[in-house]
Amino acid sequence: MFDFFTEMLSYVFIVRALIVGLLVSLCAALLGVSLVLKRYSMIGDGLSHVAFGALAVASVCHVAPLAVAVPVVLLAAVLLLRLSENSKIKGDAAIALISTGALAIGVTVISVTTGMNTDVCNYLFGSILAMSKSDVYLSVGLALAVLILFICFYQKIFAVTFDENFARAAGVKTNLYNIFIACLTAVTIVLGLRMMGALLISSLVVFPALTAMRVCKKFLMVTLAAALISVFCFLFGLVLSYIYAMPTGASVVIINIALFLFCGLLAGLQAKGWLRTILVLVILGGLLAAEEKVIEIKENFFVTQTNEIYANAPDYLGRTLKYEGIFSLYEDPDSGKKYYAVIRYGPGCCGTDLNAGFEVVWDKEYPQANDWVEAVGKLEEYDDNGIRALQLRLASLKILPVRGKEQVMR
Amino acid sequence: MFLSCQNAALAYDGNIVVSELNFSAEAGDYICVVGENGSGKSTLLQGLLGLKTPCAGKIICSADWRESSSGYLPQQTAAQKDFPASVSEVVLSGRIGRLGWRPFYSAADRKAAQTNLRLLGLERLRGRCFRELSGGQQRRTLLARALCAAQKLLILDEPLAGLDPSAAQNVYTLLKKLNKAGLTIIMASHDLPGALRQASHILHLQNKQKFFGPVESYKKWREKKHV
Repeated sequence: MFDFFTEMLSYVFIVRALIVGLLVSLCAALLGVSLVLKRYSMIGDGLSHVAFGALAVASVCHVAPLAVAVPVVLLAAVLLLRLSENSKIKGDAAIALISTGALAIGVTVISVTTGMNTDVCNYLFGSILAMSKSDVYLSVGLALAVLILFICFYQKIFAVTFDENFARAAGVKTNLYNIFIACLTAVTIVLGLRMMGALLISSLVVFPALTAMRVCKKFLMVTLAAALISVFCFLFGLVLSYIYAMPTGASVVIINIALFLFCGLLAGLQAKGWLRTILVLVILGGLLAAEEKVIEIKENFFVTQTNEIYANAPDYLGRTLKYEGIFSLYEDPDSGKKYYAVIRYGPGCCGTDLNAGFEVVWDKEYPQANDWVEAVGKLEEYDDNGIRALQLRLASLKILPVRGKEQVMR
Repeated sequence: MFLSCQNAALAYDGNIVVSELNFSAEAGDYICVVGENGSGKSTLLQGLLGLKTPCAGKIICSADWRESSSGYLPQQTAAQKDFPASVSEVVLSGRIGRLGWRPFYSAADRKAAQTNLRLLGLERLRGRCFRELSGGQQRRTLLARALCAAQKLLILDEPLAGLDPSAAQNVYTLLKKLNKAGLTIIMASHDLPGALRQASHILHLQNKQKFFGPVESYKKWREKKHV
């Protein structure tokens, strides 16, 4: 697991994508709560199309893409808000106008100059390779600014989102804050656009907020949960896209959808009163699965743990034990029966009966006595001439080259 | 003079709903706006708050009022049905006007919110989700928020709608007390007997200003009109 992540993070482009992606998804989720509640979800979509147009023009003119896209999209954000407040063109129609218009300009500019190529595809659906070093610095700076501004104006954003008229009566300049929210969204969208893709970026705004709203009932909780969900989905999506070579943006969105449906299911079950029943079943299932797990006897409490197993033998019968010790052999002088065991020398000074460990049986060849072995097997009970004894039916017995502590004190 | 309308008219969706408004309010007044449904009460209140600009005439208010935060209880909650917020978050947001450039509320803000929650009997509901409350409980929550916001002026649009008689009585008592303490209250109401008991002035609207004056002269005006 650890090796896997070290390998993944050894690629510079993935580290860049990770840094920028985490910050962008955090910002998008925070702003998303307010946008979704204000019925402005489509603004994200509209702005992403405008950003596509701006990036296309910038790449054709060989100018730094972010430096062109950020101001253009900021302008579009202000324009969109102004348009949706204007009663002549309603909000959704205004967004459709601007977004398709910008998309058309972008596509035309690209196809006339460089032709439709993989660049266009990358802009539309996102590419993990998109971030250059200077982009990363700019993105981190802008994303941090968005985060800090959001935290500073959190209370105002809540008041304006909950009831704009009231906030205005109380003396808050609500128009200013609407524009402020739209501008923060614009910056966030431009930053995430090339990784997530113009067609997919608005999902970062919408999904975490919707998912959080299904499970949380306080605004603060919804905001925090949305941030957490967004970051989690991004990480998971990035790992998924790394393992299965899928497009990053699409995998993040798919994880978001899965979590959204799962939370919807949870909320639905809760509403119907089934949630507790299901939870109990899941916990029971988990316990049953834990039953199957191997119990490992470690060096530190070797004697204590073996004593515990002998004392409560009925609880442990049928369970799989795993431990290391000295393979030893003992022959009963009266009956001539051979006993095999894997033990460590216990705290007693000389009596063999104080050695801690278990008698073992298995159907393959036994190793040499005094070999250091790792034994894995099922604990069972048998009748040894009228004495009920415990033995371990081995599943594996490995001879290890390095010997552990032979003398254990506790 | 605290606030005055000079031949003002207000429109809703491009249609003039209320016109010929000529009245003025002094600090400490308790004005009840009465009239039938659609007579322009809510529109007038929004005009007084500056949420609407008059399409004719003027609405003038003194500078110290414009700068202070007014408490407003809207008739219909602009907040959506699926909005996730707890009662205490909503009430605390009433202090938004006093936040200034500070990012978070102070202990004094929290204390004020606490007091207003108690005044309206909402203490036990403070952790509940606003959207899950009954109509009357939502109304009281929004009233508590308006009280948090009101520094000099409290504008209430049908504060009693959906309240049971005892809760309504409590609200009346509370408003009277606040008014005596110096708060100016302008309230739209359908409860005429209550208005006559409570208010210092009555404004009667029927898409035009029909009457404005002290309660006693309003009573006489009504008798004359009906007889």
